[in-house]
Amino acid sequence: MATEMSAFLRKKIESFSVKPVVYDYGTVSRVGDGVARVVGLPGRRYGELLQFEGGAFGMAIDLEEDGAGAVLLNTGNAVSVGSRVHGTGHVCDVPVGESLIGRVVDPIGRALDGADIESDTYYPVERPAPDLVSRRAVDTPLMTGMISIDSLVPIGRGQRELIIGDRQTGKTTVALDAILNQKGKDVICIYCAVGQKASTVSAVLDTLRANGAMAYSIVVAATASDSPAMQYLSPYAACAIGEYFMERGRDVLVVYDDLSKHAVAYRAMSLLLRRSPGREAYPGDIFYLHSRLLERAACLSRERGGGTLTALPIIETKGGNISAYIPTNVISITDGQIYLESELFHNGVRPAVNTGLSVSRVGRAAQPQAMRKVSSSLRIELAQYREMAVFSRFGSDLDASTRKMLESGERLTILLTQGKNELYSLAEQTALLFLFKNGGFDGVSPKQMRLAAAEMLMKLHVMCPDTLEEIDRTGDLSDEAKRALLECIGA
Amino acid sequence: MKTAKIVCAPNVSDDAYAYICARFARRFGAEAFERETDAQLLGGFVVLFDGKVYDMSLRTQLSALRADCEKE
Amino acid sequence: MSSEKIQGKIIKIAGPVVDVRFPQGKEPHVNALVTTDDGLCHMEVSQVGAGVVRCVALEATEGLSCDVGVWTTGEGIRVPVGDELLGRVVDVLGRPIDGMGEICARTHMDIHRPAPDLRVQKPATEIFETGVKVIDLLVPYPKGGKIGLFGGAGVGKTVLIMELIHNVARAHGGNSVFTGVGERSREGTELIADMRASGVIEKAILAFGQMNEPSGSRMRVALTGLTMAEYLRDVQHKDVLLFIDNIYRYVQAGNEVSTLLGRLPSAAGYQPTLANELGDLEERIASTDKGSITSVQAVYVPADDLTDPAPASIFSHLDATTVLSREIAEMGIYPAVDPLASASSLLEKEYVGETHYRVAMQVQETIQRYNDLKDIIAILGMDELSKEDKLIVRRARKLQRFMSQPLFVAKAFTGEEGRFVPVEKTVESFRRIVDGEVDDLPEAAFFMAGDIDDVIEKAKTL
Repeated sequence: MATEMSAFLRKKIESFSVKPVVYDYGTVSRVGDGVARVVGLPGRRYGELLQFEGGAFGMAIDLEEDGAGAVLLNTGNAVSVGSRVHGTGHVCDVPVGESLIGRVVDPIGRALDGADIESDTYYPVERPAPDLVSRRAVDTPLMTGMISIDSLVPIGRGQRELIIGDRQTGKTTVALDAILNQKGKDVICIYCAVGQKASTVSAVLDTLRANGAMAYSIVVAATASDSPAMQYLSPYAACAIGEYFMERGRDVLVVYDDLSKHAVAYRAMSLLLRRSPGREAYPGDIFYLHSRLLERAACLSRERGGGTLTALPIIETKGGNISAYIPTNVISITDGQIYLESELFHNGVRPAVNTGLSVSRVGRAAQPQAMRKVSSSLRIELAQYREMAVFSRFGSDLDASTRKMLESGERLTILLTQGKNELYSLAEQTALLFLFKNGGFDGVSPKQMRLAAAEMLMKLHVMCPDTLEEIDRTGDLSDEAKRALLECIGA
Repeated sequence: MKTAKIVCAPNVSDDAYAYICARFARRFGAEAFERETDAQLLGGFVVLFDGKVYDMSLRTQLSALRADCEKE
Repeated sequence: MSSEKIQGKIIKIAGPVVDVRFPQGKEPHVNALVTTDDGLCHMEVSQVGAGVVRCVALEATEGLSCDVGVWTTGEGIRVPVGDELLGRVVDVLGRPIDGMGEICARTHMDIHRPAPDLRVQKPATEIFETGVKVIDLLVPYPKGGKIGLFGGAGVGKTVLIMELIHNVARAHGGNSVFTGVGERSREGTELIADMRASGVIEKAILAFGQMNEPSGSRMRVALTGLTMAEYLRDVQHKDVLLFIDNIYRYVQAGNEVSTLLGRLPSAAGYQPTLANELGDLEERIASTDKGSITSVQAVYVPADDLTDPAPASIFSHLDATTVLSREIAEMGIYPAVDPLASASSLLEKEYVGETHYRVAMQVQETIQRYNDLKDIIAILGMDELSKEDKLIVRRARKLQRFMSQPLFVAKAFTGEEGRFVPVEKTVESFRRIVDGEVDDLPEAAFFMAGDIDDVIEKAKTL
């Protein structure tokens, strides 16, 4: 072994020829506010990753006749006037591949959790979205394990579904639960943090680790203390890492948490580059910032391997206003939105999904047969309940049928709530909704509803485990299964 | 005035420095020279001239050799 | 135009805007097309100075470097036109993107063209039927006119435009051109699949510059589609349907490059050239003595703000405007057409006839009155209203629900087969509601129904 090794080294050294390493360089002529002016650097390319003396990185974002404007990816004062800069010869890229699974990286692929990432494949962070003929219609469900979402706003693989709501409404929880529910379903999950507090990111990591989700997940993080440019790159890097798997026929789920902060980081970067501001001081290309990112989520055609990349971007609203500039921009890009409301959240409805405003534009087609059978009338039922609830507030005398409907609506609302990290399988969801429809919860007082649902599930698991298994396996609710479920409640 | 900056390892002799200057003047048309010393180069020299870096330092050569070995 | 090819050199890149130095006196003119050495990046000249021209790239500029050579082509952006395009899908430069091989068109046309002369233009007075109740009743669409569908994000613009393609393009039988500007690629894929399945694609041309593409492409693809429609009108003397989804994205793309081109921002950060850019496009969409272009344009309303400079400028160019409202969409009523904010120049007695006009007016009055009463109801409750007012409220709620309609293209979503309701049936149905002939039917029966007979049938099952 040792001789083999030294023979190898000798051969290497003998065949190694000493030749000068020649490359272009430039000099920093001005630096400040995260932006550097570089003079020289003859072979500069647009979007190229630049390396500064001392190891700091930057990205060439304005090419001029005698130099370039660069945004710095590092914070602090690592770069000073007179510092030498050289191009890396490639645009900003990240390592991709199997070796990233279970890891935490920054947007240029540096490990944040220990040993270096080992990969010989690099993808540029900016890549074109799959074109029209490389796509196919979304047709496979991506179950989130949350009954209110899977029944009313189903998400399909390759879809972009926005999670939107005020702060403290459980947006990240919904996204994380969706990741946790992919356990054992052969979906690679990527959580991308943009401008989050470092403590928030580490809490997310704890949740993922505690639930065994890091075995199939990757975390890409640019925290609030990172430079605006780093935050700007983060979602694109996460997407590139996901694309590697998508292009190999795999299913990928990417969570962007959150794009409001991404927009703010880009605004800061643009203003520092002296690009003129538009509405709410955002630059003119703020729409393209998000559209080119989210368009990269796709359901590839069979010829392209059939892989999918599902995106769950998160947007934080202020005072529940979804009509603001950035929220409407992103709504106009995504294929639907899950709207979380603080009023619901504080009333204990969690996930706090506003079922009236939440829609999924493609998911219905990708809903499992079983779910379609039991959820088709839910939306109308809830809408009628809400309208009735408003009217009943005026204290007019309620007749018996109206009162009955109100109670049923209240029970349904509670049935659709779930604890954090407490996820239901398809069969469990289907069974609960089916039994609800068939009187399984009639007469239960709303206060007892949560308990009743939990007891019901326990009963089902004891009494008809085969039926549940069948629903999960076939994705359908057969007449036989219906009978078995009804038998359980003695109907 | 086209100036070449020549960063040398401490062990580069004055003769060697003069030779490097002469080569750069003849080959690339450098008109003025600036000498600097950097112990981190380990050996050899680095020339900065006309937007290009010509790196003949021992440090860089060794890391190139290392990269070459790691490839296999 | 000189065919001599001149070489220049890139000296500056800022996003999609690229400065190129050419020999003095040999600069290409404004709107000329130039390409890089490798032919991979096309750019359109936007401003010309002494020796330096400023271009907008139609493809991504990432990885491009200074000193790269750029060649003039001696012409502007020219796209293939004519019968060879039928059934095909192209990009901004008229290159096929449907994977079905090259397009060997005999004729090519520059995408920048003048608007037709005032003398040959024809006003639009004839109505075309859409089969969508609320539109046919309240916003009759003019044949050969310009129609806008306004709406904020996610209120159903694209679904409605797809439904119109489904209903109108098929019945129309003539040629149609669909231009996708800055919208979702997924929708493009689905549209192509739908049109192939229904066979409509054989008579259609599709041009796409979707939201994943750089601003240059989105800014010009509307002109690409329009030019193809103009050829059908001017040379083949046809009546053409032109769908543009979404015209706002055309303005937006112009805005993205505007400040990089060195222009100062105008109101709300828009380009100072907003009105001109829009005029250049909209004035070309016209009906002439040779043929007609009927255009249906979706208009995105940023932040739900109809007074935003872009939608406000687009308004003034249109003959009929359908406004989709979030409030109505939240009630679950689709298509979410706002019956009071929508308007058509054809909703006049002499165009639609006495009965249609009367019914339309009554419908609007009833809903207006209901809206006024809503505040009173909210404070005092229904019980405090007079008998007549109660009747108005009940009828208005029925009218609102009756304005919903199962759409063919939303079948996967609603699970219901779409309905095409002929105009006469629509008018008759609404007439029976406002005249109080169906006061006894329950509200729920009016929801997601076709004509009034459907409602009566539905009421029996409730």
